[in-house]
Amino acid sequence: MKIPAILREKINLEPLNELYYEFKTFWLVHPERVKRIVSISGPGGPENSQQVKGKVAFVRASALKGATLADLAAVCGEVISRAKASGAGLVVFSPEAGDLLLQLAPYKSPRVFRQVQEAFHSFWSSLAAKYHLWLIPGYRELHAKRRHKRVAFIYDPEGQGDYQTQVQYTKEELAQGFEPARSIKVWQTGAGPISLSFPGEEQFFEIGRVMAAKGAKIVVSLAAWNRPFEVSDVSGGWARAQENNFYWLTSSLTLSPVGASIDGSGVLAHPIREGEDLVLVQVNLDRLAEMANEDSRGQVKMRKEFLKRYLPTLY
Amino acid sequence: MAIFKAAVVQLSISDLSNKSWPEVEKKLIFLFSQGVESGADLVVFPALTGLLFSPESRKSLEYGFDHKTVQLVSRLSGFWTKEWLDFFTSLARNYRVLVVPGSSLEPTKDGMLHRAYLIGENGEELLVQDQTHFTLSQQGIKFQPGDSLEIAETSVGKIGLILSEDVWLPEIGRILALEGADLLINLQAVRNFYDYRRQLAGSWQVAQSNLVYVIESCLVGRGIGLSYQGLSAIFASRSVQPNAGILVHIDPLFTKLEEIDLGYMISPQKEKEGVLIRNLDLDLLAKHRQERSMGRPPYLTELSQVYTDQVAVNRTLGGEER
Repeated sequence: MKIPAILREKINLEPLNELYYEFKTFWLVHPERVKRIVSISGPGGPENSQQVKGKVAFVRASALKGATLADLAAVCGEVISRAKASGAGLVVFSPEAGDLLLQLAPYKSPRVFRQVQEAFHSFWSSLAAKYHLWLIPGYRELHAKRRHKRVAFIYDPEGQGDYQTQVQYTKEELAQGFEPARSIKVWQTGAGPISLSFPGEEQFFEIGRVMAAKGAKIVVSLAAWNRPFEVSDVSGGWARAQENNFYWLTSSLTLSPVGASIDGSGVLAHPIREGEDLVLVQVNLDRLAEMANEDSRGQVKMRKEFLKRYLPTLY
Repeated sequence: MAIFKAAVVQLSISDLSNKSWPEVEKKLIFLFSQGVESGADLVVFPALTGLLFSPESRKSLEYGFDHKTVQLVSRLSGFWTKEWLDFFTSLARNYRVLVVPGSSLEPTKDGMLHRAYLIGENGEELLVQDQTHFTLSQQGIKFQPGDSLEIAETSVGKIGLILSEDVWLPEIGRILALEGADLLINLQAVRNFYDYRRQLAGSWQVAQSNLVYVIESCLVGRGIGLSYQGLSAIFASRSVQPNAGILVHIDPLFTKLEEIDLGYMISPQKEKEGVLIRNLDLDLLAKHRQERSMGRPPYLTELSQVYTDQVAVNRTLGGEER
């Protein structure tokens, strides 16, 4: 039907357009379609690669571009395949991976974006299952009316998903309606027992204590790609590593107990070369175990029965 | 008092065996007067200063503690503790300043305590604090942990004391800060090796986590059987104080640092004696605290389980229970 020019100027066609693309996107990112496309796109996983304990791969998600779902599945598959061939037991994508699929949105509107994000789980879970590898695709901000939260998802080699919601927000974020989680999780991944930390959470020793008590040996920080070493890392991840005998990892920084580092500083900065999109980090989990078994005469044992008189009640 | 001046003593015991008591006394008065003459409202001496007050305890300071120390403490600590506290009480009263006279060893039923005091301007005891955590080897020579953590309300603000190993447990600083402390004073006497990393994981960290001022006062110098190393300093949160939160440091290089440098670990000042003096602004601290206070951790239930060994492990994925 042809709309007369005089009416075209007066009628707002935006909602119609949005509705049209919403329907179109619904079929484009239907979970079954996504699973099918992921299964046939990109390289197959290396057959005989051995996962190495303590080996984590970090991927720059902003380097992953594709015009179609198949393209995107292929570029993601290629980098996951490389990580797996190198022995990584876990692949961590930089935070922007949470919005990776939005580049496929045929129309820029909140409803279409929401529709595209519906494909998030089927896309990443299919990749994890296809390459039989643990995946963490950055994190996402989820909004519902005035309630918001930041959530990181993790997929196991069977494609099963779980999540960690941020537990500590700033005062301003809480005022905006961000809702913290009440629980901190630890997963037994191919790289070892890991926990996830959102930016800012590393400044709270309490979070590190819960992670360590639950058995975490590697804390993966969901920090920006190639972030330089800063003072806040000393009061954050570095201090948590000293207090809890675990590793704190970002794409460009390995923070460890000083006894587990070669130069005794507890800091291994590995700045990333321009254009590099995959970084492999290897930590020595056996060294942590050795340190725990070393001469303990100089170590201070926490008096839990004494501390518990104060800490739950004083906050 | 919104702004007050603190003086921190880094005290050396080098050559102690060749010094008579009047010489030691003269040195303590000299260090104290350096703080008072600069207008300090609070003067802080390091851990184990009390052991300078008798020939027997001085020996144990120079040779180190062993299983006989507990007997010495049981027999004679009443004597040297009285001398020590009388000495600093009269200085506090005469100059109308708050004094942390360091710490000493005192007997208890099953061993000995490492105990510090805070003395008010009128010579009154405002706070007594025992060390609450010891290493296994220290426990082996009968050190007994203290059983409380308290702060004192003083004319300059609310003050808490942290002794030795306690500073490396983040819970101790947090508890004192939650009780309302504005200033935490960490008294150290570290045997053999001390470096910047340990300080960053200790006093500096307490200041960053809790938005309080932290004073670290160290006993240093070479004894006969051992040496003590330390890096006295005053720290604040980075939001209050640029230069990485370091207000003043016994190694001047650190006070000038724009950023933390973990590569610079061996400081030549680890055995140097001196007095550091700085103004501390409690109003500024209060303003930053108000802006940044985070309230109760939402994961409080899990956190309290950490201290009761009842942490549940999620089994949703890869669910091996520990």
